[in-house]
Amino acid sequence: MGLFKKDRELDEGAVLAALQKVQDPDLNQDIVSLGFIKDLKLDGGRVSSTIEFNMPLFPSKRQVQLQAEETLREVPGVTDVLISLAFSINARAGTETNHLIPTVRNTIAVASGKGGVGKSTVAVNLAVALTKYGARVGLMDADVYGPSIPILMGAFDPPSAGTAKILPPEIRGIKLISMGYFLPKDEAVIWRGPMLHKMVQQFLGDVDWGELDYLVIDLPPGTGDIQLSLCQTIPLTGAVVVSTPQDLALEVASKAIAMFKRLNTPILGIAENMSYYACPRCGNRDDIFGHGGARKACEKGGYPFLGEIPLSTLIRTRSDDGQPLALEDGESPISRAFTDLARAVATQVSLNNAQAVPLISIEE
Amino acid sequence: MALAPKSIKLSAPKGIEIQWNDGHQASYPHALLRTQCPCAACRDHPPEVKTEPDPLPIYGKGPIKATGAEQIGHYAIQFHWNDGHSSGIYPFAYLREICPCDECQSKRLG
Repeated sequence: MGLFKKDRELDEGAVLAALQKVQDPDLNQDIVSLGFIKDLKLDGGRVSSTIEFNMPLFPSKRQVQLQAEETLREVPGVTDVLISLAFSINARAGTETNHLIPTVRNTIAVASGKGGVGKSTVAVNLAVALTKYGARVGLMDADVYGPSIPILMGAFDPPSAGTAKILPPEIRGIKLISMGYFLPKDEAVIWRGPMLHKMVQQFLGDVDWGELDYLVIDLPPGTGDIQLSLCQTIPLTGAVVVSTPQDLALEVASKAIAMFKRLNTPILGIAENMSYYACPRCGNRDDIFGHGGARKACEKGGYPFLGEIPLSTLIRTRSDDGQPLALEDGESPISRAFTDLARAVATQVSLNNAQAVPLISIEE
Repeated sequence: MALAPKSIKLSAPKGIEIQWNDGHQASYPHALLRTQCPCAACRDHPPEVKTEPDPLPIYGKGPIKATGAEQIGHYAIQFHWNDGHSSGIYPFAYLREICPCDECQSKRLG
């Protein structure tokens, strides 16, 4: 055979072996074993391929591209390297179709036991950061009592009626629904359980969400009707628990965790909000609510720690203005904190989705 | 892995047969599951359940039987009964707790 073979002809094995040295920095596994290598083509000394990730293209993924290109150039016989990036986000195996919203791949509830810890701010910035790196995202405000998503997103155009479903307003690429759109400004929702249950079902099933990679659901505080209805209506992908570092808040957050555990809903992790305060004048750091409480709670309970968001006047003003800070492109540390949070959440979703939910077969 | 059923047969010879993901298998008589319904109404007023065929079948509906079931989220099963009731949501852990098999019975007593 060897007679006509050029001595420096490339073979696929050598290329894959080289790519096997490249790790996905979030999933800590090599990109070949993860099945990310698509359309591998060898043409003389020219190698082209697409790396298809299972989460949005966060800056960490650009590193993977650079590394892959570099390693491939070192393979003998390679003259040209062309690597492109793509992503495709899946649902958890076993939960693809058997529920109310089959076009929504992942549903992430943002919860906390306690009120006022910044659930909505975290939910909005999480949704924005996921969208910024390419994902198709929806944001459902399940906090009927204090709907704050319209203000935080600066989105005041109400939903409109479609032929069969409610068409949610779309702002900055994010589809939104909130009780805030259905109530006059100074009115309040004073409802008992069955009404809340119906609202959760309608917000999920009667809204035209279309194809979404992630639906972020902002929950009210507590462990009541809305949380229970949500966990009963759809197989939630998982819950992000928000807490301040304060013992009191963590104590109440542990109630929310206990609820999700009882309902077999995966805990994607705990995010620490109001982690510390950096004085804009002197730069001094003050740990107002203590520090590292959420990280410790994660270590104790075996949950992933999703990151820390500082207490900052900037977050507050941008929230009130409806200009979420995560929109910012620059290297502002706070905007980066939200990107890291989104990356940690997407990583946990991806790890979680790798374990199939066993289907229960029901025979009549 | 969290405890969950793998398969549920509603019309097995000995009632409702549940095969668990830890290998356990048991049959629940229909009447047992119906009387142990965890919904608020049934806890308050335990339901009257017919287990024998009706002597005047024109008037009755026959013995209690599950007519359908569906999975609720990641944690429970909802049964539909031929007496029209369906509001009971049975968490997996609860179903296992009331398992009538000899093994589970003696564990509970011991």
